[in-house]
Amino acid sequence: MDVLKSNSPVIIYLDVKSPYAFISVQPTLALEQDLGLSFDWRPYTLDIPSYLGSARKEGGAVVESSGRSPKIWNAIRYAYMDARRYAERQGYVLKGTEKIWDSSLANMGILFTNLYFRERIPAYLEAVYPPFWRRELDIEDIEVVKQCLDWAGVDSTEFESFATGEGKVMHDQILETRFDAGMYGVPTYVVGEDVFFGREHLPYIRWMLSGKQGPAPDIANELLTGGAR
Amino acid sequence: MIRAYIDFKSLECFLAIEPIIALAKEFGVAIDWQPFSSRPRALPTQVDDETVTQTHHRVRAESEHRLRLHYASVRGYKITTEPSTQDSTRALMRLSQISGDRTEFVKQAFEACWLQNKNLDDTHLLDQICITASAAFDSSKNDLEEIQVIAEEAGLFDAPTFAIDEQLFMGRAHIPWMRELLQQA
Repeated sequence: MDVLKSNSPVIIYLDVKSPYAFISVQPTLALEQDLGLSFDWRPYTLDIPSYLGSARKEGGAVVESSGRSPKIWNAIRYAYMDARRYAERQGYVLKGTEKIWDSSLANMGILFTNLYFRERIPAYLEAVYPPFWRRELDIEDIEVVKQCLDWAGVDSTEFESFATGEGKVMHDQILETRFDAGMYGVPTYVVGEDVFFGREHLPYIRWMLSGKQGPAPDIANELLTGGAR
Repeated sequence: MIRAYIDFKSLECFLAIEPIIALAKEFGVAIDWQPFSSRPRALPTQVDDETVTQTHHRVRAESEHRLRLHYASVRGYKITTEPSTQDSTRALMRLSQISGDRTEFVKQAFEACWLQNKNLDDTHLLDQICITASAAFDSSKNDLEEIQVIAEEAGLFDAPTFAIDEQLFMGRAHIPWMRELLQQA
């Protein structure tokens, strides 16, 4: 798998445990629908401790912390506050996590759905993201991930063998080549030769895919209102 | 009112000032420009025994730099890849010393830095900008460090950061939300 190549006009890389990936899902699905295109949805499992240090919480309080300066803590607190307010606008609940999850199985669910049940991508993302961020899903449990797939209308019978075989190979290949491809976080959008990090580039991507009519837009976080979900 | 924390050595800040000034003008509100020393922007160099952490930070810095240049190009700006201003402390100090509206000083200082590639670590240049911007300043005022500490205690970690009604917004991508707040005010 070439991480920068696809038959689709846009590749989007996501991680279920990323709050910014969570709030990018609805705007990206909206763009895909508006343009009548089919994007290539792929997983990128973040190695958070390698760049943000690590911490573990119990009952909302930090009980362990490693490698985090006051500025990093400010950045992390801001990121959750920021993601939470945009999630709430979309009608979702976003609670801070108690630990850094291994999201690889849930992320391979994105890959599995994208490869074999493409039309179920919106349903799978809805099945996994909102309940995970309400702290209702143990995404490290393969049975839970299979339930999400089934809920989304994806036949999960072959998922376990996929997650230990073809899916794991593809998932790991993305991680091994991410830096050489210029990727370091999620959501990342690949449009032709261009790599964009963050949903704030969606207005520009929309402009690119719509024939570049008029002046190119600046970055902007589009406001979506989802109402109660 | 919009409170804007900025750093002249930051290209991200330069790209933010024009849309923020336009937003303030649209709603007839003032901008309270405040200095905030942001993290260094020098691009890390790849080394042989790079750790995952180092690689992450290098790739991130390269990507952010590339995208800033991209959007600068979209605006029609020709930005130097090696800006003369590496230390913005003196310019931030001057910003904190100016009384009254600081907008014209901010615009001219950013333009000197990013469009004319002048080094803002120069008292004579800053004096000249103050004259052309009609900005009166008190050179005995020295509260830059205190402003930084108070800002960090309030949760700031980088620039540009904007505050409206105590809500913090890091970066110009939040302008749609900020516009909504100003519409509701």
